[in-house]
Amino acid sequence: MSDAQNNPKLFELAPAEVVVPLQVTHAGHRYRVCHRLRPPAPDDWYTYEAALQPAVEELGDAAEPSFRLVLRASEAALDLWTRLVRRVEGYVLPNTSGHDFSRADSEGHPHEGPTGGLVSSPAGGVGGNADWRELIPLAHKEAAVRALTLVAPARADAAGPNGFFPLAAEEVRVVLEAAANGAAYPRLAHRFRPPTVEAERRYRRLLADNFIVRGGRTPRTLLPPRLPALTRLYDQLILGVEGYTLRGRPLASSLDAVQNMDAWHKRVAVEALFGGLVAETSHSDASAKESAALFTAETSE
Amino acid sequence: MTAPLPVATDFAGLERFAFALFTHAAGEPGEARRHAAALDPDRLRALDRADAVPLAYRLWLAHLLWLEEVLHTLECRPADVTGVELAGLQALARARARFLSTRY
Repeated sequence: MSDAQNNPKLFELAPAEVVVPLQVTHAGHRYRVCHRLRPPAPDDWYTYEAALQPAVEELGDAAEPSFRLVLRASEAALDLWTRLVRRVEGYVLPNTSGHDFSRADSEGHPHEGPTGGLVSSPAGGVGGNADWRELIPLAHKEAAVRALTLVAPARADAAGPNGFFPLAAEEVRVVLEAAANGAAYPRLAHRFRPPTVEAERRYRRLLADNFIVRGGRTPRTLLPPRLPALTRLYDQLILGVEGYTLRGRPLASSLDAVQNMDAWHKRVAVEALFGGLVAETSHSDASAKESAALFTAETSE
Repeated sequence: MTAPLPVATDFAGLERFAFALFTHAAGEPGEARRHAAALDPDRLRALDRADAVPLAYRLWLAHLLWLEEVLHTLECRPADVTGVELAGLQALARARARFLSTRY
């Protein structure tokens, strides 16, 4: 059975809008609100990743080093949300009934609400030129942006088919799981051509490249934006994807994936591809004993 | 605070910290050296300073060590290596030569 058949739903890469339902608590009450965003374009993701400005601070001393990753997560999320948001639902201003606020409201034009009723401009309700986007709590904006990044490598199956490692394979599959629009997508498969040493070199160089800032109490390592280079690597290695649709149709070719795949999914898939190339020594006693037993059996013959 | 410095092009720093890593890797176990230096604060501080290879340099040196390995063993051609990587590999080679000449 193909991955497409396994998925209860297929991940749409070009939705009209991304719906992010949120359950929030405030002053002892629970509320359900909804943010409707335009689908992020690659440039939105590049700007977001650059705005994160990841840095690693070294704590402790040489004997017991420890590290702290510092991200400008709130600022980056706020910027991305502001660029993507189209409307929000489930919010109310003082002395009014519930409103849905849309991008048009900030320009002062009444518009047709999503439920069909005429929605008055909330800007009038709070006086002057107040922008409804500024009224939405930062935590809600961060949660909405976090929902866009809900994609990760799926857990590996217990064992490969027939238990043997495939040598000289023509493709390497990476399976991701994601959540979007209130639904889960457990098997999003990306099929890559096996990476060459040159591709691995470019990936490793990308991860190793960094800047150092001295002068503080401890040195600080700045990690430059990597998303554009990671997506280029993806584009060079991808053969095809399963579990995704583009305007309701499955993606037919690698070019479809190159042109339409979400840049954040590309990043996670490439990281899973190269991260999955490592081989680990088994540390568990059981498998060590098993290996020893196998070795003994073979040598005694 | 100083301006951010790209580690890959700080060849003097790479050589210095590569030498520190070689020395550390070949030295006594860290705990034993620490015990030996424990009664002398100056020696202990010097030990900490010598051991402190910043993460930024560790990351790039790890890449250079991997690159050095694959250039010898796999089909990665020297032509694929960038000028910055090549100069980094030369810094690594200088650090190794200095380490070997002082120790053996």
